[in-house]
Amino acid sequence: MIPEAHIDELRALCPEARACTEAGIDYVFLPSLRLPAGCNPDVMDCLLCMGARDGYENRLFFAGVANAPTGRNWNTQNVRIFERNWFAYSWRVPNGLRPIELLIGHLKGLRL
Amino acid sequence: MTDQYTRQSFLGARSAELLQNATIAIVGLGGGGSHVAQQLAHVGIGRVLLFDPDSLELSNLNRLIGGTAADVGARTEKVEIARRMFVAINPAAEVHTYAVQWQLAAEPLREADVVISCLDSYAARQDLEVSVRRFLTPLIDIGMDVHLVNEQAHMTGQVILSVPGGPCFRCLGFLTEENLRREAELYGAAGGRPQVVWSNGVLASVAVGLVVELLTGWQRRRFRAEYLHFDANEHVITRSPRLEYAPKHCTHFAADFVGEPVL
Amino acid sequence: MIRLRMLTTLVETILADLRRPHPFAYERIGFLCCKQSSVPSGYLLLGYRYVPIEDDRYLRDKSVGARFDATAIRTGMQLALTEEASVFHVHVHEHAGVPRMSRVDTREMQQLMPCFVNVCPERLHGALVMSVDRAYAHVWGTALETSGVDVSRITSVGDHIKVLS
Repeated sequence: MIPEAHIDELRALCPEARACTEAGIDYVFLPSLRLPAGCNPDVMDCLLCMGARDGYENRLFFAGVANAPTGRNWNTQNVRIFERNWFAYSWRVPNGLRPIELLIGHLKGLRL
Repeated sequence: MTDQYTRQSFLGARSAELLQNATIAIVGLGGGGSHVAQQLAHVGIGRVLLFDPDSLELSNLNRLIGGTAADVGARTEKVEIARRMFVAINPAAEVHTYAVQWQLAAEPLREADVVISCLDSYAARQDLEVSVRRFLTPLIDIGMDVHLVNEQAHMTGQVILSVPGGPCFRCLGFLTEENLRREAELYGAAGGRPQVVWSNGVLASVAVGLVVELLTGWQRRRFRAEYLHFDANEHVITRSPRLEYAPKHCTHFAADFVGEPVL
Repeated sequence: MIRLRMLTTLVETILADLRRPHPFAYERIGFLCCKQSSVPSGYLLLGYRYVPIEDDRYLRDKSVGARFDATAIRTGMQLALTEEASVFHVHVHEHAGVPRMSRVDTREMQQLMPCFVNVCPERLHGALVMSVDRAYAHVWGTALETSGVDVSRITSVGDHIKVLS
């Protein structure tokens, strides 16, 4: 269970952020999250996975592939979570951080 | 019951009707799924949904049932090969093909009474189980692997039945963070995994046996899951001890884990 | 085509409740909540919760097997409204084989179903008649013709897949 105070911190970046759980894994749904400058599209629904999944300690899933100036290895495509298809690039952020720190850590992968 | 099914009439007075009216989905029409499709056609399944994005390649011909050298040249889709075989055996059957990843055709999958997973990664199996449990659909997984031990190849495989409400792949110890992590580390480096026709055939046959048992209840067994281990070197199938130690009720999917989520 | 699917344990819960004798009513009634999904051939309804009607919500009426009061009706409407559920009125006919709705059942449903459809028009709502081993269901909704349609396939999922319809 993600503390509500941590979700509140995320709402500074994504006002509609909300916690959700599927098959025992905690996520934060981030509707219409603004992506770093230079990304196309620049706004996208995202899903922050707070626990270990598919070999990653935590992960940020995107509703589609975001073309970023950095060019990333989008090694996960059409992964099915909450009956939607999600995409993710290979990027590791250490565990033990608050959700807002995890999110910023993942978004760094899209910055120049 | 028509003459076609008199030899399997011991499955019950309603068995032909139950099989004819059932919808079965096969996800993955490679070495395992093609065997499953062939046998489902023979037992009289009336409606199948076939999912696979790939076309036949030369390296598939050692095991893909129904595939021909001409199909390699024509790059025939695997779902088309399975469809062709199915209707050749059972012309009255309704066959729907989806030459895409199942995630891109998720709505049709919901219609299935049983889904058979012939996928070759743990991550893919995890996603499929989560999705089909939402729609109260039993899932049967088959898979095989070849390990080298002291330079000797050992072939093993498994057939697992996951029924909503009963223990899931994680409860049964089949899906673990450890094997998902190892698989992720090997991403892109695995190459073509070793596969042979005869062991795929054994696993597929057991899976079809489970489908028929689920639909007809002919053995009157009361089971909430199944986990069978296949030693393909010794040609022996045994029930996994993990089944005995699994919780009676799933600890990963809540009882109200039903239907489409509201995000 | 409309399919209704639920766990065998839920079917057992429903039958165990509905087959209990009531102090004065001839039969019992409950509500089955379902999630509704679209599928290429039509709709898939997934039973997830059964809500029995409490003993003191039944009215004395010898012209029908059971009749419940406005509070019970509101319970069903509330389930449709707050859970956005497809709600089924459920009762049992005490025989084996596929049951049918009686003329009285049909008349009663024609009065009850608009209540559910009005509060949650985006869902199908219906009547589920169980026998001791089979079932029959009929649904109504704004997406369907006014007389409603039969549910084509009712299955319970457990140690095997039982086709109830």
